[in-house]
Order: sequence, then C-alpha cells, then structure tokens
Amino acid sequence: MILWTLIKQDFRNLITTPVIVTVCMFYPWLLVGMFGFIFSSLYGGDGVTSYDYYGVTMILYLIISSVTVTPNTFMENKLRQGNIRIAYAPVSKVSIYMSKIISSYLFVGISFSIHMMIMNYFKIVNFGGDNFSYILVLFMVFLLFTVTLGGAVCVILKTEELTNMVLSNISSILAVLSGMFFPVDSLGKVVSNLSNLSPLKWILNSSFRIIYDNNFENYIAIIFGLILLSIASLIIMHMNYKPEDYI
Amino acid sequence: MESILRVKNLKKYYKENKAINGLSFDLYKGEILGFLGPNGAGKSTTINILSTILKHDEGEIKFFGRDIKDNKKWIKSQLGIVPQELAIFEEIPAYKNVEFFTSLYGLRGKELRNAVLEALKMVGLEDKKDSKPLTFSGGMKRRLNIACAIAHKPKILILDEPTVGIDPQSRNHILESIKKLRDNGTTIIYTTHYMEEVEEIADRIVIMDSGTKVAEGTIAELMESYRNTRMYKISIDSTSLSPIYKNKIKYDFLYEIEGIQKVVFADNCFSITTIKEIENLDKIILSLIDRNLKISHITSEEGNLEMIFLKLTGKKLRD
Repeated sequence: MILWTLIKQDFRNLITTPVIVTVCMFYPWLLVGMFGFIFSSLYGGDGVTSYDYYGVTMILYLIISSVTVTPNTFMENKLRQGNIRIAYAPVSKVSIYMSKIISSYLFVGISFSIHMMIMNYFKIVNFGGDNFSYILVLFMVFLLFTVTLGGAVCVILKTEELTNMVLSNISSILAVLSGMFFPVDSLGKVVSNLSNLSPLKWILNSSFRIIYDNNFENYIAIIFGLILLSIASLIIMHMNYKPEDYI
Repeated sequence: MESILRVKNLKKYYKENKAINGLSFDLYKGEILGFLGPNGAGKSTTINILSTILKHDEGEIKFFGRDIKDNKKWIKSQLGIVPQELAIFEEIPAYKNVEFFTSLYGLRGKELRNAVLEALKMVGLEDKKDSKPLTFSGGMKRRLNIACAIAHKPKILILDEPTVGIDPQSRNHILESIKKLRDNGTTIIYTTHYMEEVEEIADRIVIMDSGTKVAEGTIAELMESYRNTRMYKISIDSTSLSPIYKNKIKYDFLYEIEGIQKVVFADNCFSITTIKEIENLDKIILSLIDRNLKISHITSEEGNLEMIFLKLTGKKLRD
C-alpha cells in the first residue's frame, strides 16, 4: 500500500516535470517526423519508408535517453526536497527506490507504447504489423533496463549533474555506434567492430529482423539478457542506495 | 519526569573527524528541549541520527526504552521531523503535500483528511490548502514544512532551525504552534540560532559545541550558574581595526585584566565576559585605546542566555 502511495506521488512528480513531459509526449512525433521527412528521398525503394526506419530507431533512441528519467526522480532539485521527508517516514528503502523505478517505467512506458500503437495502427510507422506485440515487448524490456541502469548509476554517483552527464554521453555514444542516425560501417573496420559491441545495435537488428523477415533469431536471448542486466542494476541499487546521501 | 529518549555516550565519526563525541542527554515527556550550538557543533548530525537516517558509531539511543538499532521503523512512526531544508513538493497543493506525507504513516480515509486539515489549521494555512507552495512566501513554506511533520501526531517532534530566514509574523505563528503542540502532549526537540526563541519556548536547554554537550539545564539553572558574570559588548570603529588583521594582534592582552573570563571578537565587536563584582571596564577601555582601537559603542548585559553560550563555547551562536 505504501509502495503504491509512493508510486502515485512519483508519477505525479513526473507529470509536473515539463522536460520529461515534453520528451515523452512530443519528441517521438518530432524526431520521427523530422528524420522521416529529411531522409524521405533516400528510402522507399523496397517498401521501407524513411518513417518506418526512423520510427523504430528514434523510439529506441528515446528509450535509451530515458536513462536519465530515474535519476531525475531521485535528485531533481525540486523533488529532492520532498524525497528528504519520505526518508524520515517509516518506509523501507526498497519501497523508496522501487517506487522511483516503477513510476519512471510506467510513465515512459505508457507514453511510448501509446505513440507506437498510434503510429502502427495508422501505418505511419511499420512496427511489425502482426508482430507488433513482440516489438513492443522488446522495447519495454529495453526500457526496463534503461530505467534501472539510470537508478543504479545515480545511487553510485549521487549528484544529478554528474549522473546526467555520464548517462547522456554513454547513451549518445551507444546510439551513434549502433548506426541509428547514419551508417557507421563506412567509417572503417574499427568503428564497425565497435558498432557490433553496441547492445543498441543488437536490439535494432533484432527489431528489423522481426518486422521485415518475421525472423526471431536472438529475440529471446536479448530479452533474457536485458532482464538479467536489469536485475543486476537493481542489485547495485539496493547495495548502494542510502537515504542519508540525499539529506 | 519520565524520560522518553535517552542518549548515552553517542559518537559519530566522519573518517578522522569526530562529529559527535560522547554526547549524552535525556528528553522528558511533554517538554521542549532547546538544542543550541554554533555551526559545526553537531546538532544536525545528532538530529539525523535520532531520526534514524544516519547510523551512529558508538553509544546508545533508546526511544521509550527501545533501542534505535532494532526498532527503526517503529521509532520513525513515533517521530515528526522538520528538517532545516524545506522538505515539501512545491508543485502540488499544500493539502496534497500534507496528505501524501501523512499517508506514509498509515493514516487513511476520514482519519487522514481530519489529520491533514487539523495540521494545516495548526500552522494557519487552512485557507491556502489548495494553493501550491510555489506561490507561498518563505514563512508559509516553513509552516507547511511543519504541518507535514505534525499531521500524523508524532509523540516526539524534532525541529531543526524551523524559523530560518522568515518574517516575524510567521516566526511568531510557528512559535505559538510549537507551544500549542507541547500543551497537547507532544515532546519537542528544538534547534535554533535564535537565542530569544529558546528563551521564549524551551523548558530545558542542551548546549553543544564540537560534538559534545557543554551545558544542560533549565534556563533558570543555567542563569544561576552564571549569575556572577556580566558581559560587555564593545563595538570598534572599523577604520581602526586594520592592525588586528594586518599584524595579527590577538586580544590575549584583555585576559591580563583581572576578572575577565572570556573574550570573543566578531563583527567589529568584542564580547567580554567578566566577573560582576570586579569593576574593570575602565581598564578594558584603556587597554583598547592603548592599541589605537577606537571604541564606538559599549553596552553591558547581565545574566542572559547569549552570555552563557558565549562563555561556554567561545563563539557567538550565529558563528
């Protein structure tokens, strides 16, 4: 019951944070629309439009960028104040950090799912047609990993600025390496090999295989791997989260 | 009187630094215990330990006879904490703030609604219950901060400098609310930088310095211990002060004058504690003039809490 009360409050806090609302409500349409339009002349030959490609890549990009949402619920200046009082209440530390993980997951997950459903239903972006649910599950498991990773890093680094800087840089590097903005294979063998190390590329490749080839190769392995990494992040969080660090 | 909190030989280290060094005191049911100390004395650390947020390294803390180590959750449910920083959500209405924090103590439904309204009424914010703290003055935010801590009716309320930086009207309101809470049976620990507040509301006082207790008692008891002392406050014209800083002249020379017990220099003013029976003001003045220090103002005070504090800690309370 207390956990539910905390989740509701954290959810309310997220709704009243303009940056997060903007990213979750408008960025998917803005990025998909912008990249889709700019590169529209390069696609369409084999039935794949630029909107199909950037629909998938930009939603994935926004999911990996959501890595900074959980730290925000912990450490954003205006929320930090109220979080202090939660620490004084008879609430377990597990409830405190789990409420932040769950509310971040629900807020970002629900908004991105709705965008994906609308884009898929109205055929603005091809998210797999009959295989849409598999893509949605893959993306939502990936989101679980990003919100838990964000939480783990923020309880280790303990400052909002440093956490955001580290996480933003890592997510941007992984995004660029995955080739979601432009092909990186032409940048040389080293970059190409590095690109293969980006988990984002594995997810991207798996998504396109499911959408266009009905091929589920590595799907279960990726889902399982992401869940394991999420659990590892939660363990790191549990071991490092100390309410007194935020007072 | 029944002791509901017993702290014995409390110690807290931050690496080599002893933040709390052997602090012991009791809190008795129904009293307001004033906690005084200069910055860095260890007041906030003590409060964070008492609120179970911070672990102590040595010593014993018992709330209602229960050890803090084994009863954290239960102890938290008995406490109300008003931290120095505002601990509220500014984007949600005052009522929702109090309601949320109070619900964490297990209150639900009608009981919760009544508790929230009662707390808001207690701090004089019932008319502003639907407004967001964003629109509040500093004083109103501080009052909401208190409402969030008292709505669940804690047995012990700990306030860490709850009146910092607010207008006199809000301060009076807060002090009146605290007295009302005490009269209704809440036991209170109150830390402040404002000596006059302690004199107004505290039943007993603990004075801390460098992580330890330097005095404890009622105001009357403390006054009695120092009834033979007097404090001169001698303001120095700032244009004549340069030698003190340039040549690092200390004011040890003042201790050579008979009767002087303590000298503190801050804000262009010497605070000199001296034995009342010994008339030495003329010697003090001459001694300062000899060192080319221009005196701009002199006052003499007897038997107030500030003097006791200064004598015990060698610091002004706001240092």
